[in-house]
Amino acid sequence: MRFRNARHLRNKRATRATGLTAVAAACAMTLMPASVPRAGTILPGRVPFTLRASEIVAQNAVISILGESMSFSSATIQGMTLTYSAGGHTYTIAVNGTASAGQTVIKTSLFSTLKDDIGSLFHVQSPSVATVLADALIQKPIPTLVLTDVNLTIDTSMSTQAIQMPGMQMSTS
Amino acid sequence: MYPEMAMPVEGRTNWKVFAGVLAGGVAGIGALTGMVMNGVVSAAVNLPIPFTVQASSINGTGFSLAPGQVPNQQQGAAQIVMNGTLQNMTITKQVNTPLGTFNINISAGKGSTPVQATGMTVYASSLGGDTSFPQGLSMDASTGTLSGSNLQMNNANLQVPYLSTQSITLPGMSLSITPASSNSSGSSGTSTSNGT
Repeated sequence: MRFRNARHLRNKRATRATGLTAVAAACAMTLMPASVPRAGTILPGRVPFTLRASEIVAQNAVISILGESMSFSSATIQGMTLTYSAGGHTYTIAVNGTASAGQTVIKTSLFSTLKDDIGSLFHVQSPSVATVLADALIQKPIPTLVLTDVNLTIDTSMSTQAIQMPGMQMSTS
Repeated sequence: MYPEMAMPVEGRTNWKVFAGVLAGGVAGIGALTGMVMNGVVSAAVNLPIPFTVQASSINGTGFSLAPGQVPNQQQGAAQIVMNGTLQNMTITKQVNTPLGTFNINISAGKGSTPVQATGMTVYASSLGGDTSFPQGLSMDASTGTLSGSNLQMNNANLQVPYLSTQSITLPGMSLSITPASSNSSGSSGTSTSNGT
């Protein structure tokens, strides 16, 4: 009789322990801590930007070969994307619509190659390529400059007093 | 032979003591939660990563965006630093558990009282919205940093692996946890809190 009671108690305890273990396991899995966010780091180093656009219509544009810069009082930009790479990642800022920029200055050493390889930077629609190159040598303002297929690497800086970017989307890869 | 060696003794739970301890614990958690929600104490919150932040509009000052990366993330994440107000902000995250998939939704800043955050640092893997920099934007290739004194963004949507703020107010905050297949709300509350 005593032996049967002892065995009954052992079975009861084993069943209870099994049940509690199952409940504890379920709780642990349900309350399993999520991965803790950790602060990231800024990737150091020079990061040239690439400005691409299907069309830029700029007002009062001044291109300076010697000064390695281009400025304009305002511009509308179609199909604008800004791309830069750092740390093996590519960062893209794309505008879905027409971007509008105010007074803008772009500085890049690539303008020094303008007279030799202008076609690699952009296609000049208006005025003529010859006029643009001539004006660029003496930094003469161009009332309306129309560029297409713009693919310009900006290795120094770009600053604008105001810019609107409808449907802007920044993505990383 | 001692009788207790042959016959194991079974213990018993004192349910009155158990209920008292349980009630005390629940009351303590409730009081602490209430103090956090009312800004009496601040809390450091780690949200499961990554999560989505949406806002009908964001007005930011002291904006800067630099290329960066977050630990344990395959893709890069741009570091965004600014002070800002966020109108109709929602933070959403889908969480898989053994009990099923749930949507966690935190919303705040509806109506005339937007969310206000200072010293906000966000690592965003994507960022979208109708954006303007009415007081200028500059890009410096020596550091890869875009900076602007003022940012205005409508219909903002950010995928965020990491977010921290020096202080944040969450007026009208509500929290809902719903099964992924359901669209109905769970629990909600109203509060303003300060935290990180």
